Amino acid sequence: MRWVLRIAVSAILLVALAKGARFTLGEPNTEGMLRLSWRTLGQRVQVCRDYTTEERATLRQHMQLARTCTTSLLPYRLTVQLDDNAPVNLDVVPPGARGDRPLYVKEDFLLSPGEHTVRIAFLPYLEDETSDSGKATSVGAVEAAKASHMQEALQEALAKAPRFHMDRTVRFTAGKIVLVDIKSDQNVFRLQGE
Amino acid sequence: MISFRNAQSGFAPNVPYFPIRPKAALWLEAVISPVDRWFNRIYGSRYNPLYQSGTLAVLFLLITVATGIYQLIFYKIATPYESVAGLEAQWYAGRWIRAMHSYSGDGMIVSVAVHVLRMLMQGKTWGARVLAWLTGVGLVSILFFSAWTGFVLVWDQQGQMIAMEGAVLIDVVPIFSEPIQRSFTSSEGPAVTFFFINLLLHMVFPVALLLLVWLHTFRVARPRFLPPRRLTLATVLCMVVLSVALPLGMLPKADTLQMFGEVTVDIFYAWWLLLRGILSPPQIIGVVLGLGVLGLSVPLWWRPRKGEPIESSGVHQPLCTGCTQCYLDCPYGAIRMIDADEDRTDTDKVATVEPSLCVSCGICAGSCAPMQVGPPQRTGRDHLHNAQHYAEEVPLDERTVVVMGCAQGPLPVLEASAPPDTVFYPLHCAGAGHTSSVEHLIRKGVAGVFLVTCPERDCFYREGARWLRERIYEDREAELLDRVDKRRVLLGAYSKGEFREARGELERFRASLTNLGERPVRESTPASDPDCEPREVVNASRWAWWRA
Repeated sequence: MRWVLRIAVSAILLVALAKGARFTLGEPNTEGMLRLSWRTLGQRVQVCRDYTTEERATLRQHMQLARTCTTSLLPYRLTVQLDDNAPVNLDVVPPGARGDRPLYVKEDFLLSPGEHTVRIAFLPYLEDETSDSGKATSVGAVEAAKASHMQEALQEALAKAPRFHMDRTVRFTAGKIVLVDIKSDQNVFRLQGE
Repeated sequence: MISFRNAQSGFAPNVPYFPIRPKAALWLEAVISPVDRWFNRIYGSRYNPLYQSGTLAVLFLLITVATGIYQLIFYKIATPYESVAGLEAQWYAGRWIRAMHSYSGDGMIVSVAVHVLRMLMQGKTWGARVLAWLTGVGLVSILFFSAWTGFVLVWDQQGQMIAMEGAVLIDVVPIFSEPIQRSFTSSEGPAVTFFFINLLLHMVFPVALLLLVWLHTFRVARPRFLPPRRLTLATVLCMVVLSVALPLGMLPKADTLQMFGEVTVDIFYAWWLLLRGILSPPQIIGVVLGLGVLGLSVPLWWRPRKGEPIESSGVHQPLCTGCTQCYLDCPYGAIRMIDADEDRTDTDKVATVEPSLCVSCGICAGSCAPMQVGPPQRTGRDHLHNAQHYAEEVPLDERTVVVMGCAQGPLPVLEASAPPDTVFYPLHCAGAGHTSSVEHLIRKGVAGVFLVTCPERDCFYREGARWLRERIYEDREAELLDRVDKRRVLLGAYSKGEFREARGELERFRASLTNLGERPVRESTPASDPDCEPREVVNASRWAWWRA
């Protein structure tokens, strides 16, 4: 009798263990998702100037170069409009202590299943144009350029910087993600999962 | 000076005792004891898995390592899901080995949870146990990290969810220039290096676990790493049967273009995913970190209130014969043998106690034939002296059965419903009592002495129950001498919840004593060594907790 009880209790414990190993959580999704996720170098800005004689004298001998350069990336502004709503208007500044790390975007939007108009713009800007929603804080090169009256470097970078647009109708399905990322070799938005 | 009371209303012997557990531990015990009792009924105390929680966790760890090595042969970081699916297709081995790997991991965390509860219940969280507790917290943390890396390696829906939601939590702390979660959003999935790093970690963590297990048990003598052989074999067999009967199967492949809706997860390790719909990521981080801080700080607050110090054992070295028995018996390795004074001619070595390792169990007192070692007022001499006073103060006759045993066990409940002619003699730990006390009571003409210990695998002080059994029945020093009528001595092991079983055994013992057909021999002046007089008599008021 005791053996039967042992086997029965052991079996119950083992089945409980197996059930716990395959536990279902969550509920089926009733909405779809638009996911913006990309990483891009955007546009590099390099501001250089000659060292003055006094500055060079303060440097160690092996660091006494003729010129000094500061490298940074242009900030971008992301604008997203879904149907008639404009849920996002934010400044994307290059991260990192020196503001030289690649720009990234990771935004998710829940949408009801069906067709929606999606307008996305990811455009470079100069710091003066900073919107109310954010301020570029890591644009060391930009600051340097302003300080040394080298606006032309920024303007030149702005002119060359890639621009990203999308304006189209997208069909969303419950539980599915429509991914917008950047096709790196062509500098254009790419839509996946429609 | 010493106020003994009649055993029917609660005996208070002159043995100092301090509440070594916080009150909360006693509440926890009230919940766990009935469960212990049921498991003892089903499995017996020797094979009760609740008593083997620590060793079972190690056994499960070894099973996961062994089954993991097999899977490593077939795993490919370039095609993780496909390689695991290939393994799952191996009906003859891979399928059940993979299931066994997973189920053993689950068994490990369940065992660890039980182990933690038992340690809290027994108040083994402070003093000399701090190192074990802190390394235990480290073990639990590494165990979780190890499991998470394992789930991610499969790169099915569960792995993806753990990776993604884990990344969301990590991203709460802005230490990376880019959110980690973005790594799991591209339609191509994570890079091969991600799986390589995970695989590496999944192999390194178990090694760290094994090293920490060693550190975890570093301060105890004779640590046991595995359950008794039968339980080990039964556990392995159970895992094999479960794995063959209920293989894991493959969950859908990870799809970064699929939202997390209904997802199947291993709730033992992914329990925190339940919080994601209720709490925000910073709050979940707060909960997890809070649990970590709570765990690490347990030695500070899960302990008896201040002013109740642990009194370390001491050795009266002039009487030490250097026999090494206390050194051999100490469950915590707190006794060392050092060189004796030069003027000693009878021994080269004498015992000494390392106070920082001593938990004041008093088991050394029961081991010493000359009765000169033990915590203050709890040496063998003190035990004998207490027994002498007990025999003087408590009415004992030829019908009396003395129930002597561990105060941590069922003794208090047993006493509350004591049959007639039964008196009680509680001890700090059954293994701490000296056999001379038993002998003294038998010589005083009582019908018998019923020694009650905790189950050997659940002894409050690890080895007290075992040493007492060997001292009574197997001639372990300091043994119950042959001149004692051993028919009048019985030893039983019961958990706190097994008072009914203990009472049943007591009644059977009483019947067997009656059936002996002989009256016990009473010696008015039992032989005693004048050297065995105790050094000090302590205030019986320290036993107020017992009377309460």
